[in-house]
Amino acid sequence: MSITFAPLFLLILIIALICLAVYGAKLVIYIGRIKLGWLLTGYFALLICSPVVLWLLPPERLSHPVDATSLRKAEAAAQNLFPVALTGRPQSVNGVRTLEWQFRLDGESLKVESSRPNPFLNVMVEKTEENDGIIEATYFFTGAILGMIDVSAQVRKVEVTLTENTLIITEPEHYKIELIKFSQDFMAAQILGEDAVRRPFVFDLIWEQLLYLRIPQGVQLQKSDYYLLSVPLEKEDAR
Amino acid sequence: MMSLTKIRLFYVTKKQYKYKLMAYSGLFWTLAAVQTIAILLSLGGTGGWNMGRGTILFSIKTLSNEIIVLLTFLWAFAVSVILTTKSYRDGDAVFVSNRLSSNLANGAFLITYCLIGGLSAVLGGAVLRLIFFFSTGGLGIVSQNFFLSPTELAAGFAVTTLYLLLISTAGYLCGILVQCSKVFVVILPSLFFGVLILAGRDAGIREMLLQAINFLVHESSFIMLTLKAILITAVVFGIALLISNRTEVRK
Amino acid sequence: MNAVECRDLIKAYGKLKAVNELSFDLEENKITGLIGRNGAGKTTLLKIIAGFLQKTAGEVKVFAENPFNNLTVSANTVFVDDNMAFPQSLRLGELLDEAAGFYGNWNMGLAKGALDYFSLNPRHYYHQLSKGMKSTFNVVVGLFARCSLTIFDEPTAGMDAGARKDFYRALLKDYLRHPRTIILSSHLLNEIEDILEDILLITEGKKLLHMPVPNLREYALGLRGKSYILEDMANSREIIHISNVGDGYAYLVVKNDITEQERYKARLVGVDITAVTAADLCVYLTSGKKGGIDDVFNKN
Repeated sequence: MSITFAPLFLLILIIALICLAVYGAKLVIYIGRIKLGWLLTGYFALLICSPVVLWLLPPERLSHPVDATSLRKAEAAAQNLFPVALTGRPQSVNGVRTLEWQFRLDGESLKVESSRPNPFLNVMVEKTEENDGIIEATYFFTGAILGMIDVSAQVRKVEVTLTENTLIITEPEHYKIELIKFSQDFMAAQILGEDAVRRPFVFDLIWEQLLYLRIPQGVQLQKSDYYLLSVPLEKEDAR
Repeated sequence: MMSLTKIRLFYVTKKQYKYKLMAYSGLFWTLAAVQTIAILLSLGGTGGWNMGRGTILFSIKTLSNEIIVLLTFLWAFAVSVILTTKSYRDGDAVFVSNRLSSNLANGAFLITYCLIGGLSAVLGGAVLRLIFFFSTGGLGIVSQNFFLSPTELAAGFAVTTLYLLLISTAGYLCGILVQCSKVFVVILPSLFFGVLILAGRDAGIREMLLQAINFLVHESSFIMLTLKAILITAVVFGIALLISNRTEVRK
Repeated sequence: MNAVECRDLIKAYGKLKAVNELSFDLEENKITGLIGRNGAGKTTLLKIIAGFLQKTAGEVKVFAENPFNNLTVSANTVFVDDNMAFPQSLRLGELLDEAAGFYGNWNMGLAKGALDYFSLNPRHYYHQLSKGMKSTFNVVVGLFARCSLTIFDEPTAGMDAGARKDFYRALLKDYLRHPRTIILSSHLLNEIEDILEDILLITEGKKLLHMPVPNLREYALGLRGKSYILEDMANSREIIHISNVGDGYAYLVVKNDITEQERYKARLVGVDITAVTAADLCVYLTSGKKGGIDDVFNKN
């Protein structure tokens, strides 16, 4: 609920309840006459049972925050991946995983296409010294940590295929990775003290991905849906 | 010859209170309805955080029982106003009563439904958690604040009930004032919104308003909060009692 | 002791005096009929006696106490009208149980029996009943609460003649078993005459008369004869009512202070002398115009 909606909503609700109070006195009694004894009992029974059932739930099934060390490692990896990759040595970054593909290219021209109309992925291209017609594609990715929870398993990976002389990079379609977080009952917080101070929760995302291509010297890049970063960056280019 | 029945205030008040519990049981149905609606509204989350990276939307949905508590507050206010309306007052006068016994019985009933409202509002938070657990299998739910310890439940229940008492007594007084003179139907909301609007414009009034609110809201000692709440409730209810003591019934 | 005492009681709404300097005493353990036209102030008076409304001036004492907002008076008084605010969520049987808790003299056996007799199902809800059945239930509650002061304000709205007869019969029987002060206000004086002991007749907030029923029956006489003869006889008397009955004949009602001689003379000139029922007398006494509605037709 966005903040701006709240006062208007509140106003409408207050007016509605005042009208209910003034005109609805009869309505209230009328509803009471309906044989809803069972429904009411059921409602309150549900309420009473809820905390008990809650206590019985297995905590392992929930998402637990990662420890501080892992968090720092992931943060470092995500921060370093891009700059280090620019120097041509992405594999030296700690805490980064890869998916690798190798293709044989016939011919000397290459097109790079994306499965999506608005490509997002960062793609770096390194021209190799050999001219062996082998194209290497490596997808580097860090773990994804959302609000201190590891959601890496939910991140879908990029795929690369070569058809004739077109390299097709398939990025996953739109999807959502969502976490559900309950906040402390603010009434209880008033006398127990805010948990935000005791147990901080960070709304933050740590994640990075990168596609690194190694292409033979002689291959001409005809067209690309992506803006291709040439690596390694020479000293003069790295401004 | 019929001898006169001697009657004591306490006995009549007790009888009236029990009578009200039976006669007004329908009000609890409306509580259930309001809270169910509140739970449904809460499913959408009371806050959130999103970050889009390409085709992925990373999202954290924050859930709390704020909406449930808020709607329970509004419900309690409405109920206490309803208690002061004609058909309810006339209902008191059918059997044995005087204004004092009726008001005291209303007070006892008020405390009762505040307790029930407070309990169900807090437990509503547990229901919310269960709903999400069983619909997602648990994965995707952050463990922090998921489990409600008995302390948290008790604290939430106690504080929510105290606020309900304050709100209900205020509602009762408003209702009594309106019954005294219809002009209050205009005066009271105008006063309420007028103060809010003025607070929006004038920093001095805003300060006073915040101080008044913080008198309660920033009180972190449970004992002090209880004392404050009970004191204010008693005074407000006492005023309502005095004002309504000379009203006529069954006109 | 007097159950109810009023001295110069006034209840004013703005300039209008619904009860206008009313003074009377009701002895305890009597059935009194409160009679008057619509708007005479009967309901207002009864609600003041019951403690619901506040007097504007004067004195009113019920069981020697001020009835307004008075717990003792409330505990010993039951007020039955056609507007009993029973809650919608309780069944008839449950309402009887609740009433039993409030009234010390409640008789559950008779109440349940009466419910059964009038075909009222204890598992029904009050608001499901027809107007007449609601009234029936109301009087059952009023009757078996056995309060020292029992007030019925036009309690038979919607009840059919048979139910009304049963009510009067039950009222009398239970009253004889357990005497109490009863005030019964009704339009249908002819129906209830037989169970009333006293009648308190009021008009426009003022007391017209307060006397036992037998006295009321002999209060006036009706004379029927030629108009000019009656005019003569009426000259020196206080006319309670006069109307034309056609063909030059008229009907005259006067106080019953005609001597034997005058009766004899009247019969000689062809004047019929009849008794006036209490019901008719009350109508005549409380009508503003001496002529009655026929006059409206005659003049227009």
